[in-house]
Parts: sequence; C-alpha cells; structure tokens
Amino acid sequence: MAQVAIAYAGKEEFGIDIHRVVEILKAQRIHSLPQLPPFLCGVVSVRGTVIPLVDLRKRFGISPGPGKGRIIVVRSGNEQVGLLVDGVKEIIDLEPEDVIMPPSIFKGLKTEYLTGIGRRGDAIVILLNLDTLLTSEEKIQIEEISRTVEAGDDNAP
Amino acid sequence: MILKRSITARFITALVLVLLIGQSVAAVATVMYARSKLLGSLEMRMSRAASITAGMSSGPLLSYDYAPIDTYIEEIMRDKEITAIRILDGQGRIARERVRPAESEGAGINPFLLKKTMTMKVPVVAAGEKIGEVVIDYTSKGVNDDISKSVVMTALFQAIMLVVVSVVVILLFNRHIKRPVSRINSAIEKVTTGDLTAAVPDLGENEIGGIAKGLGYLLDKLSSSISRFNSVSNSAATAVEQLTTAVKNISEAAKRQSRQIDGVISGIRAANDSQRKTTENTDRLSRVSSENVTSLLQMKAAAEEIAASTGRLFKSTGDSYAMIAEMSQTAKMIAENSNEVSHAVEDTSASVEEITVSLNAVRENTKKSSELTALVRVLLTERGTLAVADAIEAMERIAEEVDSSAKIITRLDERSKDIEKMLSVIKEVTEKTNLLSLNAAILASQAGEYGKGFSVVADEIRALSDRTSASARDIANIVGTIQAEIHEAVTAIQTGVKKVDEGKELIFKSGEAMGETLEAAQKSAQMAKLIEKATEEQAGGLRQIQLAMENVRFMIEQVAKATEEEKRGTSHMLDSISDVKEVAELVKKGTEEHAIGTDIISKNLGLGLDMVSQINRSAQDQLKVNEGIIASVEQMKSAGGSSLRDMEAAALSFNSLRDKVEVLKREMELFKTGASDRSADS
Repeated sequence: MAQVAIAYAGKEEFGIDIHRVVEILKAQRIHSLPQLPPFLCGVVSVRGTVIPLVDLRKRFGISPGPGKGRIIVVRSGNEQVGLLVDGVKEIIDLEPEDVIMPPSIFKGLKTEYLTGIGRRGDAIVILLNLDTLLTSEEKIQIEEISRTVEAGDDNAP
Repeated sequence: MILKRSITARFITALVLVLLIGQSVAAVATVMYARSKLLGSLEMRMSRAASITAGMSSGPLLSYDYAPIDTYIEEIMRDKEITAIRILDGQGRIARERVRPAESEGAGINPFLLKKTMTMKVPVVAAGEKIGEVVIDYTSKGVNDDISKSVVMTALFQAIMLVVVSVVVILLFNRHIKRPVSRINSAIEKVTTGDLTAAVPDLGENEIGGIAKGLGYLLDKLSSSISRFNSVSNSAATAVEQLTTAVKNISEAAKRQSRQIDGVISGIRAANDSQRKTTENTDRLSRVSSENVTSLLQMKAAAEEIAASTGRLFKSTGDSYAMIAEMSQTAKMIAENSNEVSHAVEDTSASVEEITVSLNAVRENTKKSSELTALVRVLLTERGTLAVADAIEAMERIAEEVDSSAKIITRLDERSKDIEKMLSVIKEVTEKTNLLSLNAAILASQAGEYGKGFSVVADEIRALSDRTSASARDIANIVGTIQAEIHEAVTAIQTGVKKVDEGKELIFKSGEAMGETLEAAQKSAQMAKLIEKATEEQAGGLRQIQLAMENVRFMIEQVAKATEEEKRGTSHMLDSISDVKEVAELVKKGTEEHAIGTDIISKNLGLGLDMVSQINRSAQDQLKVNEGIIASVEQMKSAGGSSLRDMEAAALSFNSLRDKVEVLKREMELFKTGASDRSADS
C-alpha cells in the first residue's frame, strides 16, 4: 500500500511517492544561472539551500494552467530536486490492486517515466518514476550545479 | 514504562523471544554436537580398547593362559565407562570376565535418550579365524554426566548472556529511541488538545531528531498562522462592530434629518400663512385706497360746485352792486337776489358738509390703512422674518447633518477598504495553511506508525483552511454588497446636499422678497401719514370755508334785514355789499387752496395704490416661492427616507457579517497558541 501525493499540471494528475517527498512550497522567485541545461528552468532558494528546478509541465509538453503553481521538493539520489507543477491536491493511499502497469505508449509519454497507472475513482493518476524522470547525464549535471552553487556560497562573503 | 501497547513492551518481548529462541537453538546444537562428539570418542575408545584386547586375547585364548591379559584387563577396567569386559571363546563361553560393581544408580540424567549400556563386540582372530570375541559393555553415564554438566553450564552461561544482552539492549533502546519518541508523543498529545505552544525538544541530528525538527517547524508555522488569523478575525470583528455602530449613527442622523425637515416644512407653511394674510391685508388696503380716491373725486366735484356757487355769488353781488342805484325799485330784486344768495350759501354749506363728511371718511380710511400697514409690518417683521431665519437655521443644521453623514460614509468606505485588506491577508493565510497541511500530511506519512496521530492534525488543518477560504469568499461577497450600498448612500447624500443648497437659495430669495414686502409696507405707512396730514390741512381749510359760510349767512341776514329796512339808508347796503364782496374773495381763495389740497391728496392716493399693488405682487411671488420650497423640502424628506432604508439594509448585512466573523473566531479559539493569550482582549 503506497501513499502518493496527487499533483496536477494542466488537466493531468500525477502521483508522487510520499517517501521521496521532502516538502511542498508555494511557487516563489526562480533565479536563473548562466549556462543552465535546457531541462532545468532555474533554481530556487529554500531556507538557505539552493535547489534546481525542473518544470514538469514543459517536460511532458503540457501548457501551464492558471494559478501560481507549486514546487514539490523530492530526493533523487543524493540530491534534492524541485518539480514545478500547477498545484497539489491531496495525499491518498493506493492499494496495490488499484495500480496497473501501463501499455507501452500511454498518452504520448514513454512508459519508462511511469511506475504505474493508479485508479482514483473514475480518474487516472500517472505515477511518476522519479529515478527515470531525469536521465543519468542530467543527474550528473544537477550534482555539478549543486556543488558549484554551494562552492560559490562558501566563497561568498 | 507504559506496558500495554507500547513499543517498548513489544520490542522487549520480541527481543527476549528472539534471544531465547536463538540461544536455545544454539544451545541445542552445541549440545547435540558435543553429544555426538563425545559418543564418537567414547565409541572410538571402546573399540580401540576392544581391538587391543582382542589382539592381545588371541594368544591367551589359544593357550588358556590369561595371566598376561588380566593385567591388561585391570588397566582397561580403570576406564570408568566400561562396566564389564568379557572375553568369549569360540563357543561363546565366557573365558574371562570383569564386571564393575554397579554403583548406586541414582536418577542419572539421561535426557538424551542415550542407551544406558552399550556393547562393543570385537572378534578375536587368529590366523584368519575367529576364535573368540571380546565384548565390552560400557555405559554412557559418563557422557551423560559430561553433557549434563555442559548443558547446565551452557544454560547458565546463556541465561546470564541473555539477561545481560537484554538489559543492555533495553537500556540502549530506551535511551535512544523510546525516550525521544515519547517526548515527541507528549508534544503531539498537547497539540491534539489544541495547544499549539507545545515545545518540541531538540533530539539531535538523527532520524528522530529530524522528525522532531519537522514537527517543531510545522507547529511554529501553524501557530503563527493561527494567531495571525486570530488577530485578523478580532480586527474584523471590531471593524464589523464599528460598522454596525456607524450604521446605527447614520440611521439616527437620517431620522433626525427627517424630523428637522418636518420642522422646516411647518415653518414654511407658517410663513405661507403670514404671506396669505399679508395679501389679504394689502387687498383690503387696496380697496380702502380706492374708496379714498372715490371720496376725493367726490370732494373735487363738490369743490367745483363750490367754485361754481362762489362764481354765482360773485355775479349776484356784482349785479347787486350795479343795481344799488336803482334800489328803491329793486328792493324785491335785492330780496330775490338775497334769496338766491341764501340758496347758494345753503348749497355751499351742504357741499362743505359733504366735503367734511368725505374728509372724515378719508381720515378714517387713512387711519385704517395705517393700522393695516402697521399690522403688515408687524406680521412681516415678527412672523415672516423669524420664519425665514428659522428656515435658514434649519437648512444649515440639515447641511451639517448631511456633512457629518457624508463623513461617516467616508469612514464606512475606508472601513470596508480595511476589511478588503484584511480579506486579502486572510486569503494569504488560508493558502499558506493549505500548503502547511499538505506538508504535514507528507511528514506524517513518512513517519509511518509514529505519524498516525499527526496526520489527524494535518487533516484537521486542511479542513480548517477549506472552511476559512469559504468564509473569506463569503466575507468578500458581503463586503462587495456593503460597498455597493455605501455608494448608493453616498449618491443619496449628495443628492440631499444639493437639495439642501437649493432649499437655502430659495429661502434666501424668500427672505429678500419679504424684505421688499417690508419696504413696500413701510413706504405705504409713510404714504398713509402724508395722506393724514393732507387731510388735516384739508379739514383746516374746510373749517375756514365753513366759518366763511357762516359769516356769509350772517351777512345775508343782515342784507335781508337791511332790505326790509332799506329806507334806512343806501350806505348801509353798500357797506354790506362790499363786505359780501370781500367774503366772496376769501371764499374763492379758500376754494383754490382747497382744490390744490385735493390734487395733492389725489396724487398721494394714486401713489399709495401703486404701492399696494406692488405689495400684492410681491406677496403672490412669495406664495409661489414658498410652494416651491415646500416641494423641494418634501423631496429631501423622501430622499432621506430612502437613505434610511439603505442604511437599515446595510445594518442587516453587517449583522450577518458579524455572525460569520464570530463563527470563525470561535473556531480559531479552539486552538491555543502562544499569541492567543496576549491578543485575547484585542
């Protein structure tokens, strides 16, 4: 039995495993760094820590909905990554019988990004696979960026 | 230590069980191993002994000389395990035997189901043939004892180890896990009772410390949100109270305004009445003046008659004078002439009397018109001006009231803007609370078992924020309605202000018209005085005429006497006639002066009539103006009435708003935060 947080972007609902979630923030000022890789849309500063930000809507080709949006901070490997979505609805329990494995092409997304499809009443929740959401090169790039930023912070007065 | 469903109890039970089972298994294994090892070695020993004995027995068996083997057998029997050793010959008969005397059996421990006595048989072979057998009986008692001892030792040792390990583990568990968790638990219990000031202890840098920090962070945020919410809702409640009081004040002011408008209307109606009376009086004045004019014309006619009569007199006198010479003949003619003169004098007298009567009438009328004018003046001065002043004062008071109403409305507007500001704060707080509840739910799930209690809190917070945002939406709607009503009230007040200004203007105009009326009345009074004076002079002149008439009559009598006594002498007659001439001259002069006086009176009367008609016109205008004022004031009153209704509707909205805020406030009070004690009275 898994507990997932339901986030929505555009008209789609995504499920994120709660044990990988650190916290949920309101959308705040996004700083951009020079020479950011294209899959990152900037960084945010959370209580002193700098966290790179992935725009989930751009990633899946969904146009942003109304509202300010929320940032979900998740753990990916040793680093923390922020996911920018339109909003977070609630936290639900999913029984294993509610989760089905998807067909290989599902709504235009390659299924390596999903750990499964959850059923919630009549609606469908796309359960994100946080490990494959970023490719390994992208993960390395994030690590480098975090290190550079922290080093920069140390050097700063 | 809580025993019932605590982690400690379960953990300790599990630990002890595990240790026990493990150690039992280990012990059993060890013992089994030892047993097999010991048995094996025993067997080996026995077989070796038997083999050696067998080897050594072949000789004796063949030679029936058991002496060398006896010593050996003695040696072998030293081994305590061996209970008997027998050497059998080829036929199975016992050739040599040694049996250990059975010791007291005692309930030897044989927990391992070892056979009490075992036998080892080894054939004795000589030259490849079995010539006998060595049978060694041995017990496993020794092994049993050893095993028992070792079992006991092991058990003892393991028990000690069990106790020691359990104690150590329990202590460590208590120190590192149970105590921190129960501290967190007690803090959470305080939170579930609504006390958000529960202090979360600092438990170090491990996972539990992380949970504690997360909890502390959440509690802080929640506490500050709720206390902000508390103060906001308190301010909202205060603002609503103020609004309600302001609305009440406005209602009362509007009611006062209505009453004052009524006062103004009655004042104007009183002015109207005075106006009408003035008009009536001026009408009467007008009529009186017309009568005066008629009388004057009559006087003039009479005077002309007098002139005519005087002319006749003159002529007759002239004739008389011319005929003196022929007096003797014409005594009758003189007498006739005198008769004529007499008639003329009588006519003149009658005319003079008529004139006097007319003059008296004129004087009477003039006095009456004087009185009327004085009355008009009094009316105007006292009632009219006062009414106007009252009306102006009332207008000014109304204007002040309207001003203060406008100020109150402006404050209302500001208040509603304040509420809007507070609403946006509330919306922000609601959003943040929502976010907070999500984060709390996440942390709760991550804490798993320990977080069940906390996820309840998180759910409550989310429900609370939903209700808050619904309430905030309601409040926003209400504020919108209030603002719309405020704008309507402002428009109504502005209309009222305009009407007040118009009213003021009308009143001023009315005052001016009254002033003009007053002036005209004063002029009319002056005219009346002049008329009186002229009439007096007229009367004086007339009296002179009358005196002259009397003289004439007297003279005529003298003439008549003289005519009868004409024989007495012509000179007497001449004298008389010349006297008559002088008198006629006097009469002529008097009549001329009289005519002049009459002309003056006529002119003055004409002027007086003009004045009167002017007064009339002013009075008519005044009436119209007053009607206009009354209409405007009526309009103002109805405008005030509708403002009052709007105010009352606004008051109702405020009441429902206040109820909603009260509900929210009570919900908030369920949570005790550090700030709530401080802000309880705000």
